[in-house]
Amino acid sequence: MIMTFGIMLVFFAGLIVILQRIRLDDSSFSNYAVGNRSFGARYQAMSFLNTWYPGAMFTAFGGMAAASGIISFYVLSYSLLTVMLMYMMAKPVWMWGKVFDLKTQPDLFSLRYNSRHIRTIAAVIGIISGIPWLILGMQALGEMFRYLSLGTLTFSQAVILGVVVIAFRQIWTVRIGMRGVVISDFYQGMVAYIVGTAMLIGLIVWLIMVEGISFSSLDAARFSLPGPGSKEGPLFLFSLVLTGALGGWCWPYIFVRLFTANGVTSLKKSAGLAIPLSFIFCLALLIFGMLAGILPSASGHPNDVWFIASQEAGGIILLGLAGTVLLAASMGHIDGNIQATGAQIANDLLGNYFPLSTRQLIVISKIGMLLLTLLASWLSCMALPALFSLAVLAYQGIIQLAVPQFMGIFWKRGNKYGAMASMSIGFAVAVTLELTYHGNLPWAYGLTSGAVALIVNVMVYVVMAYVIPQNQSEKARIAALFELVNEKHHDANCRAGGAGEQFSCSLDGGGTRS
Amino acid sequence: MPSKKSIHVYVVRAWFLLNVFVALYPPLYWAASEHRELILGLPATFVYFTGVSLSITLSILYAWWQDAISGELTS
Repeated sequence: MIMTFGIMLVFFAGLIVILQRIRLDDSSFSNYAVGNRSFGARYQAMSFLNTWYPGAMFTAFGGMAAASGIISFYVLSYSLLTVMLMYMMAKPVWMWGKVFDLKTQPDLFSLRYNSRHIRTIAAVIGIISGIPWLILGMQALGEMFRYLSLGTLTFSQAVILGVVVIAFRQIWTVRIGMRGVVISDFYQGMVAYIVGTAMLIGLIVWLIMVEGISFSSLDAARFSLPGPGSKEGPLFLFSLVLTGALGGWCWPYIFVRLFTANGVTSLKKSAGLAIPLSFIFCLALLIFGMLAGILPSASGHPNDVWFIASQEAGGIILLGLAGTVLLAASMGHIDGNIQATGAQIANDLLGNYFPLSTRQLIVISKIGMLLLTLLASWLSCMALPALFSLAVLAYQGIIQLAVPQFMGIFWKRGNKYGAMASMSIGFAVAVTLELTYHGNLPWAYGLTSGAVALIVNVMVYVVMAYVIPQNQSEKARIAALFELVNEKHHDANCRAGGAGEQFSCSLDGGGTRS
Repeated sequence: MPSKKSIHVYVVRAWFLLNVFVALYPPLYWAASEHRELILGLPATFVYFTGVSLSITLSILYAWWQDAISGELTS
């Protein structure tokens, strides 16, 4: 236990040293919320990966590969499609973010649809949906500490230890804001995905060379996918990949990565840097999971396969490293979630209805993060039997933001009525179907509740775009927004105000919202 | 006659669309699941997922490379 915990302590000490060296700069809320849009491609790439792939990748998806086989590869497809989406929307989102000083995902909704209230709706959906995943992340750390204590700690003690560690870590998230999150993501990401990938490849070699396990050792059923006549339904995989790819950018803590870059170039370059690493890491993890799943010791414990194989291959030291890798991955996800939620509480809920100074915005954001950390820590220590169902429900709900988000970015015609109605109705349909059928819709050919709700969502959005056409001033405003993205001369001033909310901006100096 | 740059833009768009199609079109993965013979010694479904993922990866690298040499990334 001293060895395993000692390795993690060394990693944690290194992290604290890095965080302590970061200069505090809260001269503006943009500094605090999006790191003053100052990060280059390498930081962006690692920050994206560290937020995208949580520690649960090693347990939940490693376990899924071990228990269910090739179906788990859907996470590889949608994770890479998500980077493709990032490449496609990098330019409009970053440009609008820079020009109008956008700091959160709901800010973008508000700008695109010229509506104050849509900011509140998007923020509420994002915050509520994120909480179950935050709790699951904290509890997964507890599971890890239990395993790494080699039986010394009970599950309750391990969960409390995990919560204490991650809550302690949040001191720096609250103090420094986004700058601390991105810089620490780089360090955590190097450990989680560079060291982690090296370990995974080493473990695959060990499984093949030492244990004599290969794909031919696996049952043929492990390589089959649900098709016509299957229990899951023929469209099940389609549904998983579609909702996964679209849903990724609906999470506020993922979306805000688009605002932290120092330019479109950095964002696109970060996609180019992140995608090979994402491909190799995820592929290695899933192959490892499938092979390690037939280790006799992993039988009945698929979610522990990362720890089991590491300990068997490299003893206590490799087990300690396995825990450190998982801790590094978990921290990036949890920090990002807490930071984005705090920023939304200040910027999109209170700041949406009360005029707040920079100082007040930062203080409210810090208080929000602190309260969220305490709430999630408290809930993590409780037995919540419906937590996983709640998390699935939250996912089916939050992906309903995808329609107004992506159609708003790529299609001029959509309006605020369609956006608010489509995501609200989509959310209600997804939640109703999920609660009624518990994730298994017998008439939907394998489509999940979120995917069915997405169809309704798109229909509402498109119909309302045609039934309630934009007036002339709104058309001109939207045209100006889209024209901005195509402009070659980025030093021109611009104005794209509307009836409900006006924006003034300067392309070379950041913008103000009035 | 379209410029060399616009041709590359169309190539990138077509490749991205192709990625979406092969990643989502159900008959493709049904066929892979039904295919019992190994492909290069590997199960067909594994080849399917790896192929789709490799295509997405390469398409983004190609887009990035094209944007870089066309000056799109200098603004």
